[in-house]
Amino acid sequence: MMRFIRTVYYVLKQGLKSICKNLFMVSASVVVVFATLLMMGGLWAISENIQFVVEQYKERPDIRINLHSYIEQEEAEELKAVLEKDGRVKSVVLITKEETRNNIINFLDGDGAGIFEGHEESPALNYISFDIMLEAYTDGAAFKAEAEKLVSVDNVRDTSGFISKLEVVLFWIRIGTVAATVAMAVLSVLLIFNTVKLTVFARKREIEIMKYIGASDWYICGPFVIEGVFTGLVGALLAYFMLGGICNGLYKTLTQSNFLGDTISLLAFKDIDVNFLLWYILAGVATGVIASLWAIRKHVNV
Amino acid sequence: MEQKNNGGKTKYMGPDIVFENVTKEYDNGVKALDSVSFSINSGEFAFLMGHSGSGKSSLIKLLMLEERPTSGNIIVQGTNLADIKGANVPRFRRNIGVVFQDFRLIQSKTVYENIAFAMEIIGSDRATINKQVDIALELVGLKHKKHEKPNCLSGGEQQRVAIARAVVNLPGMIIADEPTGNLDPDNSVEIMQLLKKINDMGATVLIATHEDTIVKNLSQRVIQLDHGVRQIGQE
Ligand SMILES: Nc1ncnc2c1ncn2[C@@H]1O[C@H](COP(=O)(O)OP(=O)(O)OP(=O)(O)O)[C@@H](O)[C@H]1O
Ligand SMILES: [Mg+2]
Repeated sequence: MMRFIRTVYYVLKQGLKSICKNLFMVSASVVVVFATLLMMGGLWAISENIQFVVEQYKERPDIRINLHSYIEQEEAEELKAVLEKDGRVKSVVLITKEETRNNIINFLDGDGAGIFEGHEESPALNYISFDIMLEAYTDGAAFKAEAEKLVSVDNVRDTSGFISKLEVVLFWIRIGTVAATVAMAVLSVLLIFNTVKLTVFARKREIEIMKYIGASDWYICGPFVIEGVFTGLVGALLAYFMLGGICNGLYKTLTQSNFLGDTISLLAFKDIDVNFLLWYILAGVATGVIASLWAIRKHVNV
Repeated sequence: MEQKNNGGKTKYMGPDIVFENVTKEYDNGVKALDSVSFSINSGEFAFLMGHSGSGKSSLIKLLMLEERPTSGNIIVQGTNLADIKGANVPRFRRNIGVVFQDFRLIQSKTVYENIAFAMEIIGSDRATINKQVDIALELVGLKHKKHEKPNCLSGGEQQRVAIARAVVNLPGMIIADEPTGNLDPDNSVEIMQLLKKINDMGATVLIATHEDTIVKNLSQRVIQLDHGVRQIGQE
């Protein structure tokens, strides 16, 4: 047992020495692992945020029907009943003239400057609306067209199309994430493979001698594997902290700048960070180990 | 220094090395060894002789499990080498100290590190390593060069370092392939005498060489090789 621990110690020492000797190539590999993981995490953070925005939009009415100002409550209630019977409609909320007026005034004159004073009775502020949620997979555009033909309807707004567009974007970002990650992972493995291969080549004679004096395979491979593990680990740690920094920075800027308005919120890094560090380390180390084992297998033929 | 290391196992009493009708044919069809049979007893000192291409290095490669015989059996200290596979190969090699014509020292390591290395791979502790390396260096007379790099040493000195490395783990057997091939006559004689000294301490020693004069002077057993063993001389 003590012998085993001591050989592990010798192997570790050898591995660290080899990293120091090869610092330039090891750094290059670290950078590639870092870039791969950062890009993967970045794209993931973007798609999580789009998903989040989509969900927020989904909770909102798909269709907003604004009635003519001269339509009164009673007539509107009748129309609401008709709409509710439509199979495509999930729910209808009636917004009274008063509510509409208050909403508009609050929205446009939040600080109470009184810009609408004297215009409270204007038809532009006094109309009844319906907020309609459609059943899933309903053609919002067709529904809108039908609603526009109703005599009491002034205009109709359909936001369901925006969400489906966003969902298409999301889909492609996700595909892109997978494709780019695969490509970058292959690049990382190749680069680490080459780095380790160089070390193996430089130490070919030494490896031969080690075999003659009875070093076991894992004793010979150990230092190279350590080189790979080190590369993956450092790359993963750097990528994690970089991603966290970028995400938090962007989150702060975007939420503070009012760029998105008050109605949409984003995910902070801590909301996305589901064991990210752990996954990063696993991915980085796995890449390193696979690449270095591959390099030694091919060149040492242990 | 006690050269016999049987690791606490019950001591094997038969010959150390037995070749039984060993044939080695390489993939290109060259038959390096043709039905070779001989045996070497424990504690024996033997020269393996033969002209260039007679199969001396091939025989040593078979002993080190670097190559496998096409047919026949090789038995080392009672174990048939055909039964040694995988992770047991390095373990087997630790029991044999090996010396080559080209010394095979690691140029980036000092004399001390080169010798200590052979003990590190088996997980010896630092105190034992230091002690054993000192004993080995004393034996080969190079204690004063402990911290030199191999390229600062003469050929003879480098070969003595290689011998120190071969004996530092106290193997029961030393095998050398042309250990004096790169050395001048004086150094050659010294190296052979050193190997004889190690043999006197109890190790079985097998040396492949074609240096007739040295062999004659040492008057030890000679195994003459000519693809097959032609003649087994005794003293
Ligand atoms: N790996 C190999 N593949 C094919 N043929 C080989 C191989 N190794 C050795 N041989 C051939 O086997 C024969 C014996 O070679 P070997 O090296 O064993 O001879 P040797 O007695 O050590 O010669 P020398 O005194 O020149 O070192 C030679 O004809 C050689 O060309
Ligand atoms: Mg030879």
